[in-house]
Amino acid sequence: MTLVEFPSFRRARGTLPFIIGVLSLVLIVLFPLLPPALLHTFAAALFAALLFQSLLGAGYASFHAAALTALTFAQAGILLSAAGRAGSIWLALASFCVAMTAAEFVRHRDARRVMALGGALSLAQLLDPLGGLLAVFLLPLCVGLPRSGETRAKAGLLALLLFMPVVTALVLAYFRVFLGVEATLHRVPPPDTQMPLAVLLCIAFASAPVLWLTTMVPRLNCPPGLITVYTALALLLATTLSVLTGALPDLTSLLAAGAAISAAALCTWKPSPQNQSLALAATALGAVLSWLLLNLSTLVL
Amino acid sequence: MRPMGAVSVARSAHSFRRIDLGLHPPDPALANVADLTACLAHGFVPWRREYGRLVIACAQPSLARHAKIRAACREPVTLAAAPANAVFDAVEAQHRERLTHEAIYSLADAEPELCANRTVTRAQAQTFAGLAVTTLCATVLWPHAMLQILAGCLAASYLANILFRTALVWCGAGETEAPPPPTIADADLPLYTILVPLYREADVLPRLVQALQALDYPPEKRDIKLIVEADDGETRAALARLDLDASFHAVIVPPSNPRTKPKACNYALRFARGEFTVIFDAEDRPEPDQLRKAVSRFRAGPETVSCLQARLNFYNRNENWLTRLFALDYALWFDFLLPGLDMLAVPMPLGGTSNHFRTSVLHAIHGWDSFNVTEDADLGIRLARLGHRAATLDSTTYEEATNSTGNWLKQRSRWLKGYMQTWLVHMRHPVALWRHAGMRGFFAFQLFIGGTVLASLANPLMWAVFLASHAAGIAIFSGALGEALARVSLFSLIVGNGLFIYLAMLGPYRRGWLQLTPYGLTAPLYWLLISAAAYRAAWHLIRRPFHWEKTRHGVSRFEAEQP
Repeated sequence: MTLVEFPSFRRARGTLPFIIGVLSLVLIVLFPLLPPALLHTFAAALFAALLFQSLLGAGYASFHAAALTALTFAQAGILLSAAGRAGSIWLALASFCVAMTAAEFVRHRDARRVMALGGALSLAQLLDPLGGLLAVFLLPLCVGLPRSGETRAKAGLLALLLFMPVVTALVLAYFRVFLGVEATLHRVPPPDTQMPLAVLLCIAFASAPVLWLTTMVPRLNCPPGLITVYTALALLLATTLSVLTGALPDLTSLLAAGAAISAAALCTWKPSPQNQSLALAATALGAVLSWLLLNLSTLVL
Repeated sequence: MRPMGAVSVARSAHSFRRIDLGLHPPDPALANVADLTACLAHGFVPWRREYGRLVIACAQPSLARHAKIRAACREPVTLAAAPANAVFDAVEAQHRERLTHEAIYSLADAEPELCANRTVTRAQAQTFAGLAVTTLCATVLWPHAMLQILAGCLAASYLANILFRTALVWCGAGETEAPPPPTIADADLPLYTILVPLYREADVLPRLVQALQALDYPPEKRDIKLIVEADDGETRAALARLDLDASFHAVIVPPSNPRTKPKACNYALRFARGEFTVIFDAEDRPEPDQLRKAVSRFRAGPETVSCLQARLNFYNRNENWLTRLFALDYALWFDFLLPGLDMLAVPMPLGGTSNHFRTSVLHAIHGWDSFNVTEDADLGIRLARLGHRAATLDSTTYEEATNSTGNWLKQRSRWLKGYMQTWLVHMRHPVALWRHAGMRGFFAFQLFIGGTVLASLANPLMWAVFLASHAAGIAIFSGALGEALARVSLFSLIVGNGLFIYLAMLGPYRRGWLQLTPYGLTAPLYWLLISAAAYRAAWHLIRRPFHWEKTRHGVSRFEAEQP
């Protein structure tokens, strides 16, 4: 019996990526002596596996899932960060986990999805410092979605969703301040280019056609899809905040995260033949646009 | 109490002579004419000899039954009709001594290695003594290293326990909503025995009867045994004042030691006539369709599913902080942890009430262990060891949560004492346990039963170690090994306690009681109480292993309400 055939995991196929992510994280935490290049390769391979499995789980045919994974990896941000040339693959991984689990939570709203989302928001903080900000911005959106229910019940849900990320933030702060240990896996890399914040945000937005389609095309528009768009907006907001507070802009990481969230959005589309073709076209367009805009901005600036 | 069984007798036995066993009791000299088991199985009692021929008082006389009774008595007999409850009372009166002995020692006689009448075996005592001496010597010789190793082991086992629980919650949380059970026509429903052990429960008796009458199950197919101790005059008097129909049968348990609920249940089990049997407590309010759901599940599921555990929670959960935390505790246990065990198909310790059984299986495994004060948890493990499965039933029984600290401590320390007994009994032969329950079942047992006790005992110790090493500046961990152990301990403390709080907060999610969620943040205070109960339980295990501390019911100012 394989892991995927194990009954309890089979029932939770939608959240399997999260489980694999957590297990991988445990491995990473337990083996801090591994060389960074190996960890980096591992992260890229893990992301590819998660992406492929999630697309299969969403109902895409094997060929389409493989092609979409390849096209996502052809995107400028992902390719450069996966190759270790610029940016960080960790932010992409964190963004993908958060977007996927948030979409699953909106779709099912069961206890397992609550755990998964809380875990993903914690994971995001461990994987990348920007993940902490992402958690802060995403949570209110998730909690704002319940359509009914009394205030006290909403407060309970908020407490439940906030608990894991807040404890993680406190633990990270404790490690940083009292023990002098930086526990996040990703160190902010030197920026690949100096560019104004507005240009950075425009490029990131422009190179994610999947997210535009998710918002604008009625047949692709659904609450889980919209939550992935919210995740992307939260990421842009978090980036803005971090740049305004003195951090250096990092276009490659942002592009990678955008591609990862786009891939999560694809998983919320109904996998009809028409949509599968559209997904391929949009992802290919995203890859082309990312390279074009990245090189153009480097040339111009 | 109205004459019992009148309706069924009149319907099936109109052609037989009728006997009033109250006015004309059976001849005691005939007590041994037929075997007790046969008397109970066919519902008869040898009444008198008339003109040299044995007359039998039978609950449901018929031609088919006549042949069986004749075979059991090994002589020609004449059948007469009598109400079922009166027949069973007469049998009980004739065989009281034997029934009492069997209620206490049935398991001890048949499976002495699975009975808790000995707290520890000689081999266990020797092992524990050996371990204690070795640890003591090592501590004297290498105090610092031993302290580190002990603290590290404690932290590692604590962490393993909480990670296992988290995994269980993850599995349990994935349990999908069961489809509504197929409707079974009343005519196709089997006779269902309901055992309700009562001890000093006069106050709650009227409400209990009301709750049992509210069950959506044909009255003529309910076989309700209200089990009362012979010396509990108060409850017996309250029972006599009630106007109960024929489906109720008061079983009076003669005084004997140990005075435990499982002994009382064993005593009454001999009179169970139903195909299925369920246990309810005096303060229980089962959802009306629970019995029908159980029948559907039993009939739909495989034969190996011999027990169904319904979910439990409290109708007075909003009474005070303690009841709220207790409700969180129960919600986590019954809504997530037990379904998790069910999904993993590992031994499941049953909760104290609303356990539904196939009666034949219950008889075959000799009922409950009279010496175990959490006989339900023990029974769950024993069922698994004998190849049966316990599963969860998606129906809730609402109970009264203990609302005062003293009462809560008594109840919780009894439970933890019972868990200690259960662990000791099943660890008498670890290899046999491994063989019976399998590797997964073995580790689940260690982590769930042993881990519950260990976590309760270890939590204050771990906090003491943490505070001593940080706040007071005592360097418990030093050197390379110490550094590693310090990391494990810190991780265990932060992640373990964080997860415990989180799981407590998650508990009420399935029921939508999210207003209780923020109270989960105060769970560490609740664990202090649990730890106090655990140390009390350990003390009681040594001093009074079989003593059953009674939980007082009927003290809540909250009435049972519609959930």
